[in-house]
Amino acid sequence: MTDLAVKVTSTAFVTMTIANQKVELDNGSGTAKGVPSGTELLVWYATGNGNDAVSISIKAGGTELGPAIGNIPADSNKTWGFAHLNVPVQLAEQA
Amino acid sequence: MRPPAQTFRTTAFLLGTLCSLSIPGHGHAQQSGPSVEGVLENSGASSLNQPVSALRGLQLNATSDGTNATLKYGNVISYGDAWGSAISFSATMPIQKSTNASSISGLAELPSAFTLGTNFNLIHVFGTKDPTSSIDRAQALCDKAESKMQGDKTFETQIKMESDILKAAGVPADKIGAAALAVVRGGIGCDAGFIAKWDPADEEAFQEIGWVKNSFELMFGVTGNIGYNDFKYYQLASTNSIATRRYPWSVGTYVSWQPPVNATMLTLSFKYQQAYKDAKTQIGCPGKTGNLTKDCFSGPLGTPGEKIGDIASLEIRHSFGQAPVLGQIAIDPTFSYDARQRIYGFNFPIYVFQAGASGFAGGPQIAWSSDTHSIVAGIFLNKAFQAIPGFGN
Repeated sequence: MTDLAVKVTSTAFVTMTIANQKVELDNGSGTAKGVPSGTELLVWYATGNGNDAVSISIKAGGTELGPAIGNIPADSNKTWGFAHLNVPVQLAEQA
Repeated sequence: MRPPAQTFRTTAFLLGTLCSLSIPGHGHAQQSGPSVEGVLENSGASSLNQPVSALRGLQLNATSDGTNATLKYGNVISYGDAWGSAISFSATMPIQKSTNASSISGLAELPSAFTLGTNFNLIHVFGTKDPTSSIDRAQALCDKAESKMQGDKTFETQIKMESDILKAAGVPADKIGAAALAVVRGGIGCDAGFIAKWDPADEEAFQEIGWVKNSFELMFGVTGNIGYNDFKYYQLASTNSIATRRYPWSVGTYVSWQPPVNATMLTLSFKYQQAYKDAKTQIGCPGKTGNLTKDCFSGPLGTPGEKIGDIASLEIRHSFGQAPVLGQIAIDPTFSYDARQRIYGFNFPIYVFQAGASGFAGGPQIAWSSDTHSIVAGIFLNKAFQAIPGFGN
């Protein structure tokens, strides 16, 4: 198990779920605690405001894992996206 | 029937950014009744007074029309489940202008007015759905869009251009390919923006996996301001002015609705305000020496008057999108009614130019109020328009 550091920029309110765990974001930053290591995780987010791109950074032990997803269609004020995220065991042990 | 006393003034005024507070004017008022500027300022009709904003960090704003500087700190929190909040605190004081430069009063001495304010927003985005059970379907749409991207004639050109940029930036050769692909794709995951770019016909189907169709956003909050305001006034018996201090305050509440239309927001707000203003300026000559300079005064005669306001306003923010060369075209009209003073008015800025993607924006603005029937027109300069100020920055 490991903790993943999450940093979201470019939007204020994002619903983010990592491995079925909802992540609370304070000023864009939050932590997904105790996620399974060495497995593939489903990360998804949704944001319903702004018309700018969303930048998402997820790190384990200081190593960027991604996903840098986050594009809001030009004709919409909302988007959602997902990625399958691999957390290598060695990174999990460092975290 | 009395014809309205129509007057027209052209005023060049620059508007500062996101000043959500207003303080009652200080100094010597020149009008006995509420002015259009006063009504609009007090009603929050100016784009300076948007209640809904999501500032993160510290911000210093100044208005060059005269008057105030505001130091503001804000923070936003996302609680998950599409709930969030934004809170801000601010301090506003007048700018005192000297012959050579402007300075914020209070650095060398106490300012003649000072206001502390706070603003709390609670926000909920309706309509999010947990897509976990439909990820396979979403993945199929993403794969289809990915395939279209790979077959697009511009794809290789974009990859090469990004690779050249990354190479020039010193990115290791073994990482350039993946990095360039991530830039062109917009990330390593898949989202509605990616689908919209490469396979727009499937955008709606993809969005409906993560969102209820025609969902909307709702915000509500409260505001509060309190401060002090120094006045000088005269009495008939003396040419010496008398200094006094009053403590204006206001409380307000608002609700905002962002319909399922891009870049639109409606805000209905109410504010109770207790403010003060100078008495009517008059000339009095209580002295008897025959010297007009020593015997007479010109200024407010009597103590400052209390001015209570019950102000309701409706603000409509809407973007018409990007225009070639000019940038974003948008409107931000606010209609206000002071039930206590029985005065109504409007303020109507139109954004017609924008410097760069996130630079300053501006355009013409007109304002009118029922008490003076005067139109104030001018040019404003503000931050780039956003349907919800502060979001998306």
